[in-house]
Amino acid sequence: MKNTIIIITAFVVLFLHSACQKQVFGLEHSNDPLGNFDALWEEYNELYGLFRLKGIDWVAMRATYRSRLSDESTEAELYEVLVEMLDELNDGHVGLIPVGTNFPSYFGGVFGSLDTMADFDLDLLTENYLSNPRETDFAMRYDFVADNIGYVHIDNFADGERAFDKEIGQVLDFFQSADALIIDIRGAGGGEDIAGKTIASHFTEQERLYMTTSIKNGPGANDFTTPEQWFISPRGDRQFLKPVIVLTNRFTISARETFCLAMRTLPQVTTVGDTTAGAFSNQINREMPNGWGYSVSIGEWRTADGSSFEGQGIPPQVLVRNKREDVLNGKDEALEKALELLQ
Amino acid sequence: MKIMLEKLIVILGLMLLAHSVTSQEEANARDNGWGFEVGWRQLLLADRHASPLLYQADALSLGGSYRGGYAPRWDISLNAQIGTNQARNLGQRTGILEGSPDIYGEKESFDVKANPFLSFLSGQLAGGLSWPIGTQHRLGTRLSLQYMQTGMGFDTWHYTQLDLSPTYSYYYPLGPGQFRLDFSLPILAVVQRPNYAFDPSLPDEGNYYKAYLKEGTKLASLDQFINPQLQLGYTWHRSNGKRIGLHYQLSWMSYPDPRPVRMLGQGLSLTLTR
Repeated sequence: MKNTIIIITAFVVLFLHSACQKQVFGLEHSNDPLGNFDALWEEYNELYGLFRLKGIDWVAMRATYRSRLSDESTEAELYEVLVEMLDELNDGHVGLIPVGTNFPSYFGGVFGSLDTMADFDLDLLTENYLSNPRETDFAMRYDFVADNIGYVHIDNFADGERAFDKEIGQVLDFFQSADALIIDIRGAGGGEDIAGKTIASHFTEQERLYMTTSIKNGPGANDFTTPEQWFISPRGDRQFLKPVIVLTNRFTISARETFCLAMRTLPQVTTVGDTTAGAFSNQINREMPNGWGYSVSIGEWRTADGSSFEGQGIPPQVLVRNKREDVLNGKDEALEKALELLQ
Repeated sequence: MKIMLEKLIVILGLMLLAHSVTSQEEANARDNGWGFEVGWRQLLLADRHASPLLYQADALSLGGSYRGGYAPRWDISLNAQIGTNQARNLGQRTGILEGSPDIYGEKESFDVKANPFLSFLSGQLAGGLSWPIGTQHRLGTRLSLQYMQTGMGFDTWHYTQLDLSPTYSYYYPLGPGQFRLDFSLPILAVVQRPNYAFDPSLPDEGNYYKAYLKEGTKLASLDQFINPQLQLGYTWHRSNGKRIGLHYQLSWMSYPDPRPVRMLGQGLSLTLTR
């Protein structure tokens, strides 16, 4: 028995010794510049779901960018190389958070190229166009913007079906007498696709396919799940079938964009404003051996006909680009164009 | 399947060959009643599917159990753990995330803390039956449900395991109490892990955990799922019938799907049994 205890103790000590950890636990990458580069590149290689859709040669990019690093590279050099490489993906869901350093967080796509959301401010719009704004529990601000036209801004899509059934139900009850509705999804931040599906389902009288999603299910370039089909179908006591305008801008991203895809299938809906951000896929968070965090888009989000707006954004049916100085002076041209179209 | 059964027979046979000293006392009869446990657990966790880093969780463990009967003896136990979990070589990490710029070009910044304090939660519910073999051995079976949740890779990581194990216990009277060894090895398990892309994205399921259960639950047997568990301890039998024990636990888990996860657990606990 004494020998057994000694053997077990030795076994545990052996396990805990750092020299054995790598083998025992199957740790693959070392915490040096090339090890960190490889860890990120390989994880993207296996998980990123948009290489084939965007026509990106990730293997060629490895050769290009890895050759700029060595084991003697500094953190700054590693950061620069990774940011430049990730920037080629043109993806608003791709980010790098270099914890423990003074380097700024990096985000790709529209967030990396635009310094300001220069064409929209909800508080200025409220001040100048809404006389008695109301708010739901967490996501919507609404009021009549003209005698017979309702306006609702949806600030986030970050909750489930039941919550959004209640929120949009409250708004549509208020706008029962309205002849038309403006749904404003300008602003930043995404949420859950199921939230957008729930809200849009209050605007249709029949089932409509609006999106398919396939996510990575293996390390191969073509390892994707069978596409899941996303439908809207009538929800709520009554559906709003009168004219609707959906307002978008360059920061309409992710769950806001998939909501826009759903609304575009409806005959009574027109989209006005600027092109959306072009980042539809869900993203997951990962980390590197040095502890830096990063995000990865994991699938192909396509429209009902199989096309994709990933990386490009959904162009509005009526293009109106607000000017910053107009917005600061209380004028929202996109909103005014929407009113003009509805009156 | 045949190779699996051969491995199992060899392991059990080795246990039965352990030194035993004949005794007039039925050592394995003196183990019934309510039991309460407090202790410390440490888990070294490497999930290649979630992170390239080795994590270490240190947790306070609290539990209760009840044993009754003799042939068979039945037992049921519930155990919960709460603690910290950090990458072993990096410790607590904090980054700064900037929000989107407003019309004035201003961005809101906020700290992102990877795995805040007390972010490791775990629980286990188990029940078993065992039969005596002589006065110092028991063979039995156990069904166990285990759930773990923590932060890993700047995201939430969770794991669920329902397993069926044969069990072996050895009792050795020593002084005013007895030494005891317990060993189990699941031969069948239902394992739930996040699916390959860590995101189920189901159009008709708003609850992520339910979606994970649908998409990431698999049946595994001994050729894939290795999870031996060993417990060694001494229980001191007091004259008033209560028993105080000190136990050391050691476990190893290895499972390859969708990418390898490995866990080495150990713990120390103080028990009081009435």
